This record gives sequence, C-alpha cells and structure tokens, in this order.
Amino acid sequence: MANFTITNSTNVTAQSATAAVYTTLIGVAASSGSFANPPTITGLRRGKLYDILVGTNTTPADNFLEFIVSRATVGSSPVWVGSVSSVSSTFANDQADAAFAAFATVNASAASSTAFSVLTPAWYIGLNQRASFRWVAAPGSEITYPAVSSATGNNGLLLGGRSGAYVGTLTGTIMFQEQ
Amino acid sequence: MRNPGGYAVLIDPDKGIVERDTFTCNHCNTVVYIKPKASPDDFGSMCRLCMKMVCRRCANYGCTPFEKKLEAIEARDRARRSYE
Repeated sequence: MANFTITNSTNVTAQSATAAVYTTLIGVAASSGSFANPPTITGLRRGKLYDILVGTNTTPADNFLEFIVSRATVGSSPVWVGSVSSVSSTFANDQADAAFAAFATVNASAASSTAFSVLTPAWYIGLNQRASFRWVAAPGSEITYPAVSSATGNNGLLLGGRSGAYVGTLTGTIMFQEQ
Repeated sequence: MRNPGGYAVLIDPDKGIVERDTFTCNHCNTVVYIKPKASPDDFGSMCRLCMKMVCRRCANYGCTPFEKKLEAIEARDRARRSYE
C-alpha cells in the first residue's frame, strides 16, 4: 500500500487558466495500463484519496473560486494532455515503493479526452481567492475509487476548479494510496 | 465532533485560520463539513444498521455501505472482463 503525492505544478504541462466550467487540475483513475513506459504494471488497483490542498498562485484579490473532486469515468487509452503515468515512480512518498499503476493526469481540460465523463461529486469547497484550503482524511474515511476499468465506469477521481471572475491559474495537490 | 473522519483547514488572510471536522458518508463516500455545535440533523445522520455517519442525501435511504458498492462494481467489472 504505497502512498503518492501529485501536484499540478509539475512541469509536464502548463497550468490551465480558470474558466466558468471545471478545469481538471489532477486526475487519477484505476487503469490496467497501456502506456509506453510504466515502471510496473500490476493491473487494476483501488485508490484512496486522503489529502487535498488547493489555492491560487497569482496576485491576491477578492474573487470566488470553487473546487471539486468528482467521480469520473476515464478511458483506458485516451489522449490526455498532461499524463504523468510514464513518470509514476517519481511521485511515491517513499521512493523505495513501486510506482502507481493508476492513470494520472495534471492540468488537463475536459476537452483533452473524448473518453471522459464527470459523475457525482465527492468533495466540494468554495473559497475566496486569497485563501488556501487543506482537507485530510482520518484512516478509513478516504475518498475511494474502485479497481475497475473504464468500461465498467466510475473508475477515477478528478480534482477540478472553476471561477466566473478569477483570471489566472489554480494550484492543487492530492495524496492518495493505492491498494 | 467525536471521532471525526477528517480535518479541514482554511487559511484566509482576513478570517485567519478556520478549522472544521469532517466525516465521509459511509453510503456514498461524500465528504461533509461539520459546523461546531451543529445539530446532527443539520448535516446528516448516523445509520443504525452500519452504525456509521451518513450525509443528508443518504439519510432517507436504506443501508448500503460504500464498501459493498465498491465490491459490487468490482465484481461486475471482473465478470465483464471474463467474457472478453
């Protein structure tokens, strides 16, 4: 049961500008793996999201922001801008652990994949642009996604943000455990 | 809240640090924030079958723990893949 941390500040892709619709900051989904360079592929695994940190990184001002963690169906071979699965070994909290088997992406818009559908929200917070926010789960109270493929659906979680007024980029960090 | 299922902290230059306990609904896995001294009816209920906290949306329905739902989803996925 290795733990992983992913932020959307990785240099894989530039952070997306906010919009009035949700933009995905970070997404993780169970995946059987079809990527070019995964260090290990061990099949579908359950994942538990246990820590979320969100905020902004531009000049402070008063605007309203919304952040959400949604369940989603994420395709097994989508064209995702910002996929970090090929460098999954670098996100382990303990570098002695194996890389995650999940599919993970950062700074991807919904339009970057055709195999993408957002389902019910599992976590939501509204913030002032000046504020930052952290949520951490007690053991047993994590947000969990099942070890299933996209064909069954509901196989991932997406951390997204939106604002009708704020012009800039959002920051997000998630910690999750793969089982 | 006694034995909270999580902890949330908002850091705001104007308001300072705002802290909230949270729980995760045992039926739908949604995170619920708890206002201090709020009545339990305001944020959900405790399911008397699984003896865990559930959100307001799930409070009026029967008891199907999220773990059972995950197992059902995974069993369906295994069955579907066995036919391929």
